Amino acid sequence: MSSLFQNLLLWHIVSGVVAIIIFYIVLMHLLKKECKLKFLKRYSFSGFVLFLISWVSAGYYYVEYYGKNVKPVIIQGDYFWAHKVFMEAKEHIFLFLPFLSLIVFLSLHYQGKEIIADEELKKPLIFLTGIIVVLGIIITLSGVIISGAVR
Amino acid sequence: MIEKSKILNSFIVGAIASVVFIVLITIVADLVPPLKDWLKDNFYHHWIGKGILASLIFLLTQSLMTIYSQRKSSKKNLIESLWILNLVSIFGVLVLFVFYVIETFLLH
Repeated sequence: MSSLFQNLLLWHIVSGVVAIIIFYIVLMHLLKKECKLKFLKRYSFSGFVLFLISWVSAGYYYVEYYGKNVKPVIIQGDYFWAHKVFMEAKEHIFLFLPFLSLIVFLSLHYQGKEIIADEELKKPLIFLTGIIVVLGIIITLSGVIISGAVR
Repeated sequence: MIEKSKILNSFIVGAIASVVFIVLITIVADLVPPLKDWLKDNFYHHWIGKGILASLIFLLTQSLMTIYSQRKSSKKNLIESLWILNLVSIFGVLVLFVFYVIETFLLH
């Protein structure tokens, strides 16, 4: 693998994992009775940007390297399901994350004060942030399974 | 001036439309090869095509909802839209996993 693809893979993993950690922090902060809106806006926006970076770096790696070099090896092996189930599901579920994370940021941007003060409005946003964290973890674990299948 | 909650509600509806679109086009493109070929031919790779089209649907739905929706957005609308987005996302993930399990182990 060339250093370009090594770097792209690294960027994909690091920015994705940091984004998940950021949304976990946002989730924990939303669960508090008193939230700092400025903090939540900054964190959710940086999480969204990191998911975008992860999206672009993974996309280039996936299209230009994985499909031609890694996918055929996995499909011909005993762990073909690692690509056929986990990679296929992962790559499409991954498309959800920038939209979901943008909605968390926009909700705080447009209606932050109302959301923080109103439990009824806050609850679905807490749930959405939790979904982002759980999906991020599922995608990360799928990546681990796929990496294991190549070896 | 358009109220902020209406703009936000339009964005949430846009996200719902995008998630639904991603799930549908993923399944349909796998079952109908000409659609997957069309995505590859026009966007270099089917995954890029799905991402670009989902982004366009997100922006288009948001714009149309903001401009043409006569309904004033209330707190109730926002809560409903956010819960729908939550449900659609969870359901979408389950549908995709179940689809690929069926396609891998039962259809081939």
